[in-house]
Amino acid sequence: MKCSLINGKLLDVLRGIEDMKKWDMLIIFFVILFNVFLAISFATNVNKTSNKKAIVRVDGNPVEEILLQEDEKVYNIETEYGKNVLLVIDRTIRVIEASCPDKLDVKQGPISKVGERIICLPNHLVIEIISDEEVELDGISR
Amino acid sequence: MEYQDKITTKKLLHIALFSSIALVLSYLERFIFLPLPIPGLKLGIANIAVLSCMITIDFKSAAVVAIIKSLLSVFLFSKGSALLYSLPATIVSLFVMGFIIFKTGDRFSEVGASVLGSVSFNMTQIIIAANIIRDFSLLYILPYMNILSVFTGVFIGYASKFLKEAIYKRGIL
Repeated sequence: MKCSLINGKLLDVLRGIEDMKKWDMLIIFFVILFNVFLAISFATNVNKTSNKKAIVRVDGNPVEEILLQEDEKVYNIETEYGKNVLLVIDRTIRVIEASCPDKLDVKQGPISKVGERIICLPNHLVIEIISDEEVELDGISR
Repeated sequence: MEYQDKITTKKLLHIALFSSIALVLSYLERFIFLPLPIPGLKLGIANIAVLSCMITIDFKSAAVVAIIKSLLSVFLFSKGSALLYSLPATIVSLFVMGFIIFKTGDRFSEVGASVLGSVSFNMTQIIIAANIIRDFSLLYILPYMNILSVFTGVFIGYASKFLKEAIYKRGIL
């Protein structure tokens, strides 16, 4: 079967692509390099500036505010309903020990995004992640 | 050349032809779906007409084509507020492409001009948009858009290069 496209025009097109000039290559290379650098620096910057907090509530009353930070830190939350041990590491928070019978909060694992929650129903405990800005807004509206 | 500075009927006809090509291309562009998560990214195929007008006729004609395309495509196909973003971006990218083609000697080909033109178009558009809505977190998508616009720019550059060769081969201009 004769394939006239490959014999004729496609080869012409491919030959044309070879003659990109040196400065074209350079400028494409530098634009991509610069923008990859910019994207990486933006991405790391966002993580540093956005401070997230975890609010621990028992019966709806905030008992503790925990800043989600890089370093490992353990918090003990003891109330009349029971005991929970929280671990903060790598900007995430998780429950590592609980006195409740089903241990659903321990099984849920780490949370890190704004709006995510860990709920421990037997201990009346809710851990919710909020961003710093929301705290300021709350302060204004109060 | 002396001929270049006069507006002859032939040149007027060519400007009108390139403008209509640019308008049709910017209309067709709306139906090309790009499967990318970034909003507002276009292929920019209307730039083929502007760029090939610039390399086959001259800078002034290309400026006329670009401004006609920008004004008419906004009035015909989209909302009037889009003019705030697209007209300054068109003018900036026009001057960048003109500089690359006419002032840097023989160093760059059409591909380099097109890449730099589309990158400068993006940057102007996003900076103006960020200033209008007063939200500079918009600038975070700028590097991703620029990297993608390099690829669309290479495509547009080759397209206008082949168009130029076809125009010269058939002796249209």
